Amino acid sequence: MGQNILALWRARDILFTWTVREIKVRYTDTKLGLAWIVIYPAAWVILFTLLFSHLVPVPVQGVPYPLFVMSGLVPWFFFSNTVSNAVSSLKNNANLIPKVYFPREILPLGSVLVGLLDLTLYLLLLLVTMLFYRFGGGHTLVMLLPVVVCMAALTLAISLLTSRLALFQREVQLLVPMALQFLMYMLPVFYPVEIVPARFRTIYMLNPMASLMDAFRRILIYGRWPDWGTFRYGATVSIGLLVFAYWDFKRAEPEFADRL
Amino acid sequence: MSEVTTIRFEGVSKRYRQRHAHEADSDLWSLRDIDFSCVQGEVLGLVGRNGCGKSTLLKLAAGVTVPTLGRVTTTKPIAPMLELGAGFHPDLTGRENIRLNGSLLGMGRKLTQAQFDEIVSFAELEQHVDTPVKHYSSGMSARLGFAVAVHSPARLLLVDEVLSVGDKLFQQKCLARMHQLRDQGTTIVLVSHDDAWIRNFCTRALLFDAGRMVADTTPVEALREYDLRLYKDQGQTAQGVSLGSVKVFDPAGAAIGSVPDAAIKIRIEYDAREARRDWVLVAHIRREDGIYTVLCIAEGATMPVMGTAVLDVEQLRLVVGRYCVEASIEDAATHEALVTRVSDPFYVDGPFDARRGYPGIVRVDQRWTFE
Repeated sequence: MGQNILALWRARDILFTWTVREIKVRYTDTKLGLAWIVIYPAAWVILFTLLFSHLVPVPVQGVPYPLFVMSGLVPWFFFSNTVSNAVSSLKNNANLIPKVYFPREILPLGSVLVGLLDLTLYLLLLLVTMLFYRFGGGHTLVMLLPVVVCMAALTLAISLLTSRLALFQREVQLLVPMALQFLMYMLPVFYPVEIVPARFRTIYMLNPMASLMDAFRRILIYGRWPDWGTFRYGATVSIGLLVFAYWDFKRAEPEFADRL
Repeated sequence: MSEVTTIRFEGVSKRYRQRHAHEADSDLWSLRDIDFSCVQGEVLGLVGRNGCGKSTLLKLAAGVTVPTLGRVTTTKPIAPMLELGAGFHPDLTGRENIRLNGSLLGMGRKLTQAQFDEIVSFAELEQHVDTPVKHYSSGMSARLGFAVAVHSPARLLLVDEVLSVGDKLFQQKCLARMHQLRDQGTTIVLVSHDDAWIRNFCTRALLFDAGRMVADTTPVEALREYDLRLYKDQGQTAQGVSLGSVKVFDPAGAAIGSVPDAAIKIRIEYDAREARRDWVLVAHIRREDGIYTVLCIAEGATMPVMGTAVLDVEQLRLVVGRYCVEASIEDAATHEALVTRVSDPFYVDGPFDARRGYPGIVRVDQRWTFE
């Protein structure tokens, strides 16, 4: 593992240029360009606000609903958009992988870095929204970085696993979008964790992303500390899963070129 | 220059699993028991038919795939030109693609920047460097890919059939650049179906047949052996005619490797009993660089349908060099070769040594006077 990380460090220039390329590709030749950074989350916030603030109100303990749902959507976008990009990151580069060697994890890792850039921009939007409503923030924001780091670890773990599985099993590419759609309802995106009945709460919280998203919302919007028990659990699972996923990825890597 | 080993293959075999829709998977050994090593400054040509394992060997050397058995050791950095412009994105400009392609070939930001102008001018794309690559012609993007690869700091350059890019002038520039790299000590491994590249540029050649390395020798020898194998496969039954041995002797009838006095006797065993068309026996004398120097056609002679043809060449006025005889039975009407066979090489001795770079093919009777 140490050797692999060293090799990745040596190839950091490729990682950097690859990530820059991915970002450029996304915004070249689009008319609205960077405006998409605002349009995309705004559309979802409006939809969810109409649905769950006006049609079927969800109890949110006095938080303006647009702000509430945004604090769920921001980490969710990061996770789901990154994973849905990453799952095809190896498969879509069938013209590159058999032609030149570089540490292959650069491809899913590049997707995660692009996602992190988006996440940063979305976080800025979220902060602007908090200022607009004069709501949220405070000293608990110091936990933002550790929470985001854990989310990134979890996202990278899933990206590594799905991207390599997609090479070995075609179904994975079909399965992942469906799983992501399901997952959105299984996570505290547009409703608070508290509406999950107490007897199902433990099972619900087994999903590490649920505990991380709950922590994220607490520290940003409610100015409360994370629930340390579940956060510790989420962090441990995320890091553990990342170590496993990376080991698994590197173990399978020599076969990648032959599978394409 | 010290002998630094840049590639070493030790007992390398590579198996591919072929997946079938309706039956069990089967194994295909793309390479079997390959052993060789290569030192700095060598230019290694890989010769053989399609599917004989040449490209697999390059992939193993590039590290994109791993051997099933054995071990491959290489010196980094490697510039694999298995495809020109790997990783080029059509929506990005030439400038942006140079940066990524360069980094994949081990050029850092500084090196890419330092070499940028040279890369662009080598590729002759000064006017188009800020145009998206999708607007390039295929020749333009191949040129750009080639330019980046040959400016990378690689100690090992792997080239797979990519030398046919660009026009004649560009190809000459490529060749000059590759010579330069070779002289700087870069090891080059080259797959080409163009005999001229193997013959003129490589210092050594490996011949592959069905995944096995059957010769590790000079380019000329490897190409000859390759020809022999090709024609042997093709020859025996084609059109009901066949050629047995093709041998070169001295005028007294002794087998020879060298011809000091420029007269030879060629014996060709042939069998055309089942020929369905009019046919004619032809013997070319071919120089080692592939040039056909002399043409002898058995015209006008009444030929038995099988036997041994003996051809006496009385004054073989060829310049010094290695030659072989390529005999064939041709369709008399179309001159299409029905079957071809190549002799062992022989050496023509004489006053002018072609290897010293004298151009030319024949010597003529000559007399100089000075006024």
